[in-house]
Amino acid sequence: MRCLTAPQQKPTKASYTPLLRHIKCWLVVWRECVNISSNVSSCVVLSQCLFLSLPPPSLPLLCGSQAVVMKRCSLRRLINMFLFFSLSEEKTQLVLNVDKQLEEVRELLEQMDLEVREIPAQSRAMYNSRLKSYKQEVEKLEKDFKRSRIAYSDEVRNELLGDDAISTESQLIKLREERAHLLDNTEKLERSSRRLEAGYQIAVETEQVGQEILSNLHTDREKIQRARERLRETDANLGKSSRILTGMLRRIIQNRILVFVLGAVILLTVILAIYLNLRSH
Amino acid sequence: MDNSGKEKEATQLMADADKKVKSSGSFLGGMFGGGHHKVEEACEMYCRAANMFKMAKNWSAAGNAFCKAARLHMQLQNKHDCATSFIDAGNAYKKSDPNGKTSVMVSALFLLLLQGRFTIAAKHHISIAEIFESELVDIEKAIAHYEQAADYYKGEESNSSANKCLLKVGAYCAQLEQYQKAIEIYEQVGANTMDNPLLKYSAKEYFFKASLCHFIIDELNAKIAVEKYEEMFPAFSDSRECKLLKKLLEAHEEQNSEAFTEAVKEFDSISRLDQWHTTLLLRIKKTIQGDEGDLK
Repeated sequence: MRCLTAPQQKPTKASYTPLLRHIKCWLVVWRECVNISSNVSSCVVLSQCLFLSLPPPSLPLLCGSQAVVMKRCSLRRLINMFLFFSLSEEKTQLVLNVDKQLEEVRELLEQMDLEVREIPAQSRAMYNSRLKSYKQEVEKLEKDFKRSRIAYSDEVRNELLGDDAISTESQLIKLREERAHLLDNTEKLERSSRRLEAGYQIAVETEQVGQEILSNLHTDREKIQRARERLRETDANLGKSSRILTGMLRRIIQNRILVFVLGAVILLTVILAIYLNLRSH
Repeated sequence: MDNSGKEKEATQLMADADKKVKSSGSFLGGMFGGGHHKVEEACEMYCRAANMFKMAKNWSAAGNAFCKAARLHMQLQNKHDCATSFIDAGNAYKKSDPNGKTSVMVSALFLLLLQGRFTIAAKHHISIAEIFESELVDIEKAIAHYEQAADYYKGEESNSSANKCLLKVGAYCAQLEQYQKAIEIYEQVGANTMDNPLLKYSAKEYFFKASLCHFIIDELNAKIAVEKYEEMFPAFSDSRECKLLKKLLEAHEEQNSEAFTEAVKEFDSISRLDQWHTTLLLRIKKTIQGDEGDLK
């Protein structure tokens, strides 16, 4: 339902044409409400229409007649609504509403009467005839209203024929409602099943990706283990080589010491030989 | 400009190195031990020249230079350096002449094996096999190399890498219609991975492949195989693949190719079948239709 905000205060002279437009809109909305079989809201809308179609008393007659026409239409429709009504609470409300509106219509007509008398005589006839037709329509509406209040009340019908005998129109509306509900539900189910399938697909894909990752991890694990082994071997080898090198260093030092010692010994022997030679001379 | 300058330098170096090598060939040079120095220097010069060729993006010339360096290393009994140079040569050839690369790599591998370095040898086998797979499209040789690589990996206790190679072997065997071998491979791999908590989620994939191969050979085989796998590996029976297999078996029994196609389509809608699977399934389907044709 479209949300139209209607002016809540009494309409002023300046706001009259937009007001008519508002009323027309409300009527359209009311039609929609009937289509989707929303009884209560359509009544609310309709009463809103009637309220809005109240013109201020000082406005010229033409505008007043338009307002009366509108009121007439909405009243007629409102009365038709009674035929569909099955809840007594809302009905009493509506009844009160319609009563109020009828009173207001009568007031309007009186005002129009006064105005017509003040108009110059040529156009008086035309307006007079118009007034007369309006009055007749209002009376007809009143009669309809009274009839529907008494004769066509759903409660009476139900009492007579039992609860199953709801009028065909309300039945149709109910069926339409149910159908809309069911279609909604089916659609929701379909949507959720589609989503589930998509979710399943994604889960399967995730599983495959997971498999690949796991096998990659396994390969990497083995590589790392092998690398660790090799590192340990290299470490051991390095230790060995450092030991060998220290051994070599030691040997070199040993050799050098030996060389020095031998050199010293030889030198000593040479000096001894020379010394002994000199002594023998 | 820079590149061509490098090239000229590189060629100059090569010429110098050649001269050195020739000069060291004389007996006297060898006698004095300075010959070794000369050859080593020549080796180094070859390497430098090859690197410069690489910078100039002249891959085949770089490959040539590396090869010469490798031969010199061989003369010097430097097995390790020799193998490295051969591998470098192979990498350079990869960009220009795949055939050359493979022969070079093979010689490199031989040397590595002599040294007992199986892991790296296996890695190079894989790269050679990849070349065969992609550029030279010689699937048989590729299979041979993959198998060798798998054996070496097994020897070095790296079962994961071995499994990877074996899987490739199996896939190509099945493509070449050597189903028996493929079945053995997949069963083996499946049994290996079943126990490993990391890999068990891929095991069902392998069993599925093995059963498909069984299927192509003979339907009864497939049935027995599926039962066997279910026994061995209870999680297999829950998988969608197993359900697909059962449906396919049924369809095959009834010779109903439509049910077959439907089952395959259903599976495909959830998770797409890849090229290998589709080829095999198509073959199976043809056997169904072929049977129908025979009956008529």
